[in-house]
Amino acid sequence: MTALSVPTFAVVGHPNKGKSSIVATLAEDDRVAISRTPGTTRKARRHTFTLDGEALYTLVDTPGFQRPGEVLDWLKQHAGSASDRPEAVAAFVERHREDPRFADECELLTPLIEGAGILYVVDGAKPYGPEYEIEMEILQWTGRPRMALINLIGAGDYQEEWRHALGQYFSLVRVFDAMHADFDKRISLLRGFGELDQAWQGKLEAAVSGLQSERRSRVTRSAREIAGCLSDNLTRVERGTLKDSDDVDQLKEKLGQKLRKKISEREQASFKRVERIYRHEHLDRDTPVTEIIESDLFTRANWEVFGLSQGQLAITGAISGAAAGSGVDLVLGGTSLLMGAGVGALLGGLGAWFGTGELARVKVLGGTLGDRVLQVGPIRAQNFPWVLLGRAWLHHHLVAERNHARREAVVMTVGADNNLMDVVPDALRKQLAISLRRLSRGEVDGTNYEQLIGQIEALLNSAVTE
Amino acid sequence: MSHSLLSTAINILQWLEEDNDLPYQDRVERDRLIGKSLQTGTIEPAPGQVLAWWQAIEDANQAPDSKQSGERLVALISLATGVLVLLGIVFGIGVAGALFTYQGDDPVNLFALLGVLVGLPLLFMIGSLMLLKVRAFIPASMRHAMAVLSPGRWVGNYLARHTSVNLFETVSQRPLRGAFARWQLLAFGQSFAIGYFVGVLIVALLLVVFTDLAFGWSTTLETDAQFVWRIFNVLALPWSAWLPLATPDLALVEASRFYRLENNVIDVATAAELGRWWPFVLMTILVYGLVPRVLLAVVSGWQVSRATRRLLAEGPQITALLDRLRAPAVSFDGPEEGETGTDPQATALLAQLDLSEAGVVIIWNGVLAESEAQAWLAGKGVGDAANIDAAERQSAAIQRENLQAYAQSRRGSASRVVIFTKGWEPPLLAFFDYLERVREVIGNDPVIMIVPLDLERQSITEEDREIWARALAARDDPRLYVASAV
Repeated sequence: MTALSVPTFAVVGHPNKGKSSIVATLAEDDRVAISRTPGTTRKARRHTFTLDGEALYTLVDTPGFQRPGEVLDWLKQHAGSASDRPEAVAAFVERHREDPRFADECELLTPLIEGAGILYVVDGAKPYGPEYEIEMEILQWTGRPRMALINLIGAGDYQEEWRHALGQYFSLVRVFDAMHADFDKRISLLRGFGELDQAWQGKLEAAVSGLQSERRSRVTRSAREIAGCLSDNLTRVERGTLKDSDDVDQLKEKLGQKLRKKISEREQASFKRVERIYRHEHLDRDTPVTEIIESDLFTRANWEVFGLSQGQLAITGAISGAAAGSGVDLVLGGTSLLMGAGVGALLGGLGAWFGTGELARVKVLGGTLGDRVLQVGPIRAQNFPWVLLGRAWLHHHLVAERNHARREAVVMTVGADNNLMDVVPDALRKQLAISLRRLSRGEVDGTNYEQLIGQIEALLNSAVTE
Repeated sequence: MSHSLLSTAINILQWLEEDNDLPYQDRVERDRLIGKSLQTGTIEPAPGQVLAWWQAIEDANQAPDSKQSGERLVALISLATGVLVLLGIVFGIGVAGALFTYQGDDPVNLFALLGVLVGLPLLFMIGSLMLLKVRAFIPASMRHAMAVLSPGRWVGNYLARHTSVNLFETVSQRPLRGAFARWQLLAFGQSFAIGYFVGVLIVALLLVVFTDLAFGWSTTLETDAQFVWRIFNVLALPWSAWLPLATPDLALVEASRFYRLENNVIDVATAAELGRWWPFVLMTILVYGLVPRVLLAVVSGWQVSRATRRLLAEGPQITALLDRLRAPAVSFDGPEEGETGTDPQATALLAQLDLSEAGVVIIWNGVLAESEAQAWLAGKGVGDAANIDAAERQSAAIQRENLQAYAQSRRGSASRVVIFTKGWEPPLLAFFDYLERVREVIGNDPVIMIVPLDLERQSITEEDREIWARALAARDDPRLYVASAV
């Protein structure tokens, strides 16, 4: 067996125990074929993690054992003593490389012969069976450092009996739920790989550091994307030339529909970009991420779930009104005795409480050549920025926490009594209220915009109540 | 403003929009490679690094398609500026021609002349600046009125409609672009205004040189000449110290008051006296009309240039690009989706389990313990089960031997073999090998029924049975069935 320059881990085991799921999750690759049909993986597939072009570790997804009994029989017949066992394994592969009967075994044993560490995957939701011992014995014969991973596919819990059995063949046994492991658990597992061989620790630590930095960068990039979407959608207007013969209401309706359509399209485009940031390149857009998110942005249910309650709206309206009013105080050099802030707060609060019931602003403008232009938008409903922000937050949460092994649609519900923004810390909500007001009015400069991105980033880092 | 910088900025922003279609990983790898080659110590981060990155992209011929947008827009901006200046000159000539009209009866009213020629444009300029800086305090109706009257806005609207570059929306969908738009539209406005004042000055100079003009002032208010003289002196403050000729004295102001009811024809001496106003008029137009506009044009040009640099230094796309240039590229290089195993189209053979004619009952991989199996089978009306437990751990020869022994013991009634197995484990090729051995021993006629059981020793779910059925169908054995234990 040779020492590989890049730490390499072969993910091996019985068919259908989640080997590919573990690889998909750790390699963040939603292209990995995952199926309940056994034998989906026919060839060993390598996924190499690189940081700035430097390969730091490789995961090898392998086919499952198919004829372990025959393999072990052959090995026993061809090994003279315990010290010959690794060579016997290599000899088996050499001898059967072209034999279709042992194609799967050769595929899974080859990386081990080349020096890979072993990640043996079992399903802790199903009971242990003695037939697994043959596989574990073969792996023992390779002499490679090995770790057992108890994956959990389903509701059963047989972890203890697995631990007892695995403990006899593996010095390291860990539980790793490939479908639901969060980022910290993935990092912890990666660090755990380093326990298999001290020589691998340096590169694995570098990989951990790279992944953590990438994770932070993804949140920032998502925050930027969301801010861009908010900026576009909160100031979007649709205009149409109004001729004397035109029906104003008809044109208003037409422009309103166009406005809503464009806003929804922009939001969907933003969702797609956030998914790509998290390497969910193949998330099926025909399969709803959630029913809530895929539903029409302008439905009442959406506004109730994602928007602020009337009380919260009044408070945030008062805060942003006070912020605007304090501008007057500043201009007057304090001679207004903070009346500007007070009046602004009062007007903002009352405006938010009573509202106008109007979704989008409608105006008739004079054109340049004497014609009239009907303008619909921007959307002026007080809750609209919060609905957009809430949906973006929830979508980000779903995408950021979604493992790449998962193929099913995720359904997430928000408590009927609460809306999403209830869990946002007051201080952050106040800051967001001011920034969103500025954004809606087109009063944002570069500095404010960066502040908004920072606030959205803080929001994305907050936990969403499920 | 550097037009080449603007055209490059537009090209870059346009290209970055299109670049979003490229998978993120590809962008990261491309940009990080360029980022590592940049000497970050010597190039300012932005826009220096962005421009250096763009140069690398251009060198690699990766940006051919969108290159024309910037050049085209810059050409359009230059053309629009020229047209606005010309329009302003024509407009200025027209307005001045009308206001300087003097037929030899009433002199040209200085209040009307300067109010329209200089006062109104000055008000518009102040309004534009307020719109720029304290927009929130201006009522919407006034904002719209000003927008309708603003030549800069006309051009902006035209360019917004007729170019693919979204740089002329003042209420921004992108704040940085909004800042650019506001200053650029202000610059357009100044081009028109400069043209206008140049037109006015040309007319005024021509009329002064080639005709006789007489200026006066008139008011309904009970105002004495002293007060009006003070007003004119205040207006003349910027130049009175070094150009006294253009500063009216009290005598001139007193002599210039006129009443239309007098209906007098001005005598030559008075006309000559009233003509002394022309330096003041020209200086007022110059100082309060043209100069502020030129200054504002310079400031707005500088601001447009600044906004252009900011377009290349800030904003989501640029910040993301800088991140890609600076941050180490993280990637997982995996293979494309590979070949998969089982044919999903294979037809399943499903059957209900009937143990009444079971010749041989085999228990594979210990799904039932022997005692459990006996009890279970007894419950199904089968009193004598052949338990070949742990067959999967036996060698092929022993498996064959055991099978032959069971078949011998049941010769004549072995029309059917029933094999119980763990339904939660997938069928391995080792199991199929075993099935082949069973077939070898019992021949092709007897039916083999596979009964996968769940953890409760009951039938597995439809979905699991489907998986088993598909796997077994691939064996191409017409008498091999997956059976339900119910």
